[in-house]
Amino acid sequence: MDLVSEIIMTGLLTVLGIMLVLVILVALWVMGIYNRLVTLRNRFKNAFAQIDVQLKRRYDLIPNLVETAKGYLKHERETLEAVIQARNQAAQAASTAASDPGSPGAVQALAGAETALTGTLGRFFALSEAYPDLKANSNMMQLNEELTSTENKVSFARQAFNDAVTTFNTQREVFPNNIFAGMFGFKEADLFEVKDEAVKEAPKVSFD
Amino acid sequence: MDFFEHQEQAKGSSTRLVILFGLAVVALTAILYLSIAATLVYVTREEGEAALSLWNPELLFWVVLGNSLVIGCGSLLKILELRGDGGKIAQMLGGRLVHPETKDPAEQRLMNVVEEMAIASGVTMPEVYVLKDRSINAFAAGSNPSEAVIGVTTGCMHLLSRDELQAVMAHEFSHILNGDMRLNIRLMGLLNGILGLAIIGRILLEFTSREEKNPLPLLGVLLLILGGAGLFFGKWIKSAVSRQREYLADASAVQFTRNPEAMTGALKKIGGLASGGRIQHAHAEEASHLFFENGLTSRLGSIMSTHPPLADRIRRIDPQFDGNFPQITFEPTVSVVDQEPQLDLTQESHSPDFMQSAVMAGMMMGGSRMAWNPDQAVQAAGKPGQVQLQYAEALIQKLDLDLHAATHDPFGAQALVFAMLLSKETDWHTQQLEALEQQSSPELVREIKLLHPKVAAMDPRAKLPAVDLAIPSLKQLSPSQFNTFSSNLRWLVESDQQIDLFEYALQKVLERHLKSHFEETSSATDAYHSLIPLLPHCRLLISGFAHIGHTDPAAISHAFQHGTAGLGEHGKKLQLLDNADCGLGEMDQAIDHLNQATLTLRKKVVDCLAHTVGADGEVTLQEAELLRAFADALGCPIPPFVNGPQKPSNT
Repeated sequence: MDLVSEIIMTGLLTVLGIMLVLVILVALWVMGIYNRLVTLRNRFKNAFAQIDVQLKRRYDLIPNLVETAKGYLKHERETLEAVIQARNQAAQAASTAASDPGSPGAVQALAGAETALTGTLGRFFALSEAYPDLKANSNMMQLNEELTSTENKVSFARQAFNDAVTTFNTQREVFPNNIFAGMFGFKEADLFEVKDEAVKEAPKVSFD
Repeated sequence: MDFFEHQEQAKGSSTRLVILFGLAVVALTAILYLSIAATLVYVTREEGEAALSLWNPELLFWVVLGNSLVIGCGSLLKILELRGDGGKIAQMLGGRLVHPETKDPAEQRLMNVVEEMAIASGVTMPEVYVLKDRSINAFAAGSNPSEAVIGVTTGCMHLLSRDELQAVMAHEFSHILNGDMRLNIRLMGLLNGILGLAIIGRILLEFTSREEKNPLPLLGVLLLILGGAGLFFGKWIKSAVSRQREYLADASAVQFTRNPEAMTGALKKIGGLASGGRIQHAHAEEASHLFFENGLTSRLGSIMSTHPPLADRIRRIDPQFDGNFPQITFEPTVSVVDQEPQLDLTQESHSPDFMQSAVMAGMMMGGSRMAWNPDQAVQAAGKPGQVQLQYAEALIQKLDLDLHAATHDPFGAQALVFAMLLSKETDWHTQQLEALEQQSSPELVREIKLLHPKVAAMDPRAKLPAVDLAIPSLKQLSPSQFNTFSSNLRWLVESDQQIDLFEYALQKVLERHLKSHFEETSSATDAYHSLIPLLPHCRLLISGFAHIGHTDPAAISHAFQHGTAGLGEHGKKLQLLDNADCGLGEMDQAIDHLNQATLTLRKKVVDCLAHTVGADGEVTLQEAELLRAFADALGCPIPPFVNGPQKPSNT
């Protein structure tokens, strides 16, 4: 009986050993997936912070712009008010998104608000074409230039953000990561896509 | 002791660490083996069967194997995970990256202090993270100066004065410059392995059934106990290795800022704060040795502490300390007044007027020569002083606001770098810009055009610092954006036949610091332990430097001989190359190969270059900056050379 119990003992230890090794390997592998997803998520959150800084700068410039233009555009109150309103809404959306860029819908909402803001600004600048005095105002020119620079920076930062989000989403969806992604609570992240304003409708010509 | 000697000393501590760790592993294996063997003996005796002897070679084999596997894997994986980017450690601790254009006054002040320090030490600006914690603490992480990051708690940001914050930052920079970070990463990695035993123990306990004869939960308990023992050994190793480094960093920091009151002030405030330096975070234990002050309460008393006691640290700087700490409560206020550096007006050589005029004088005499001792260059490496700090403050204040702002975001930083590398000839640079419009974007070219006039008017001494400040922003590029950037960068350098050596060096600096961030695989380092296979490359660099600023063949030859003198016997045999043979392509290869040599060898090469440039006893601004740029490209940061009276260093 001694021999048998010795064999059983050895067998038990071997099985133990193999089980241990397997458990460790699986645990490490899963940990690796988790860590990778966390890293990629942090990357897009950092990328969002880059956008946020430039957006804040943009939102700071706009009231100055409106103030400068007020004197010249006395009868265009609606346009000016539309700009301020759109700016406030975008600022609100930005601060919501900044608190958690990964939460579904937040960045999308911001993108919508930004599109609207760009639209109102477009109308504002189109309008100011008709006021050469305003165009020539040095403050206006400087603000316009800073605004353009800032918008270029936003666009560039958006590109980096979208790259990072795409990488994260892809990693989240591939097999076998997708099994664990849900378990760990990694949600799909939104891209920051600003749509070009719909082309203005051609003026209708009637031949009555 | 200079930068390089510190690095060597850190390596020595590293060896001690590995030995201690090895001893700990042996001890743990012995404990595990004995426990299992004893249990088995007890169990079989209970059964009434012939008792197994305590000595069981087969069991020993399995225990050693299993143990080594667990600890080995745990350590290796952790080291691989932590290697390179210090940002990973910062994020592990819950840190948030600070944006350089932050509107928060406390963060702005922090960034200003770190920028000054980076320029003063000649290293790239590190990424800065903030940990949300009311205690006062800070850390530096990353495997080498170009991948370093700095982390600071909100308590540290708000409760310390600007000078005290500067002292803490100087302490962290000293860790970076003294080579402690690599040591720390190795430490974290090795200890992770030992802790792994405890983790497995816990898993086994939780997931296995408790049948009577089932040895698994018993094993689990054993492993848990072992894990505890492992933790004990871990803390002991950490404290043995890291305490001396802390005293050293304190001393280096005081040497840097020449402001002992600021350092003792910071330490006293920590002592006076109820939470001290305690970090509330799950991962604080792993990283405890990285912090400025003790991040954990130690139940085992100060023997196991990673940091020397506060009172001792203060007394080493101020022997008069009476042991009383002021009472501090957390109140986040940073006034705008505190933003600007407080230049010490009590001492004559530190008056703001003096510094301003020194910088102004330097600007007016662009090609001016200053008397210079080449040995100074390498000795100063890694040992910046108060003069360099004040120089850095003045430089930043003089820097055009738009240029400074450009270094703070990735788009602006790109534009700045391209603007710096554009051809000096108007026709050619117009063509370059047209090509860039296609290769990158019209928006970027617009930004380059805006910055270009300011870049052209820049003080030559501000160029390398500007690149160093821009690097963290460039690290924020997405991988595809970085690919576009680096191919455009290379194109810009190659397309301009007139490009000068300095601009080329700037490109190499960028390549060095950004490549390690964007490429997951680290290139071969320390592949060469002797300069002999690298002699042709040394010859090339020294020849290139010998031709700078000299047209007279005798002077060139003289400079070359001065440079190769440092290479000993082999140096004497080297022959000067013609200027035509020192092309950028060859330079590229030379630098890439030399970067695979050990730090000591690279120091030797930089030393030779310094002697080449200073062969006639004088050096121009341009030559000095060129030397600094090449040194930076070779991973040997040299602080800026500052004209004017300097206090003799005390070491």
